[in-house]
Amino acid sequence: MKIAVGADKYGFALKESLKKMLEQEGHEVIDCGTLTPAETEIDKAPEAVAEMVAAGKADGGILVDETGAASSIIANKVPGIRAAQVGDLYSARLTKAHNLANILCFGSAVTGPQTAEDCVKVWIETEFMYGNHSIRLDLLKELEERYGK
Amino acid sequence: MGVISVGQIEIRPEEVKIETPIVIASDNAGYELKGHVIQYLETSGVKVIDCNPEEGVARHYPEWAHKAAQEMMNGNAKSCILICGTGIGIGIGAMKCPGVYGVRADDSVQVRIAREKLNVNMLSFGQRVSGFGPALDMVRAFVCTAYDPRYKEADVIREAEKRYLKKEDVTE
Repeated sequence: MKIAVGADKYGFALKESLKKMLEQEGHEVIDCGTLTPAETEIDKAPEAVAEMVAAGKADGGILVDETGAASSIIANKVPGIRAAQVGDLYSARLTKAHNLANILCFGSAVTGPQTAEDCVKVWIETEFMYGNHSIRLDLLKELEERYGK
Repeated sequence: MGVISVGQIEIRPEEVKIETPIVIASDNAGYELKGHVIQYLETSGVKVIDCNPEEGVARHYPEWAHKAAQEMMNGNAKSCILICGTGIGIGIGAMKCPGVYGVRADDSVQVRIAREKLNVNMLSFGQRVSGFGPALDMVRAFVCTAYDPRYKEADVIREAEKRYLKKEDVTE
């Protein structure tokens, strides 16, 4: 898979370790920054990753900040994005199976690196379940058409 | 609905730091926990609007999310608490709507930081993920944490929204 990753200063270290894991697993990683743990705007990486995923230039995205909230707010405003903050394996599996989440968000203040790593692996492995869940994705799309630019 | 037995600390009126009323919605996967949340808030005297007081109404999570967001957009509510199986789907649905800035959370630390720095007005969590003890702790953190305007991150996410959504933020 081709996966875009991004973080702010709080998420930099976790982003780096997830990137390393993904590369070891044979995935192609596109790093949308920040490339140093210095102060950055919190919107830069989420917008870059979300636009890349929405445009089909990446198969999925991973964002890390302090709580996962800023990343998921910004990414979810982008049409075509279903960004899920997760901190446990069940949610990582369900959000792919039920929501077809195309971006995972982590909060470095609440989720440790090994949990995050396992969440990413489970999210990649899990298949979307279709059925009623497809109806719900269509309803999310209707909201995007109604409010999106 | 049973009595809350974990000794949740009641929220005193002077502790409420979020604009109320709070609109509350869930799909069927979050219905039971929603009852606990409403009972907790009402016992504490916090005003709530219950989007789906009747159990078993066949609606999908994006529809409940939209209903809650509309209560905010039309000014009936200033914030929302949303519950589904994981809290993710219903949260995504709400964040597709203008003026909704949410934290989907696992614990109260996350909620406190998101309130303080981002001025989030939506909290979502999952009935299948969070027991009602931690869930009500998150509710307490959501209601009792004030936004600290020294943090400019709240403005940054609201500016970012304008680049993708049509309507201006009408909840402020």
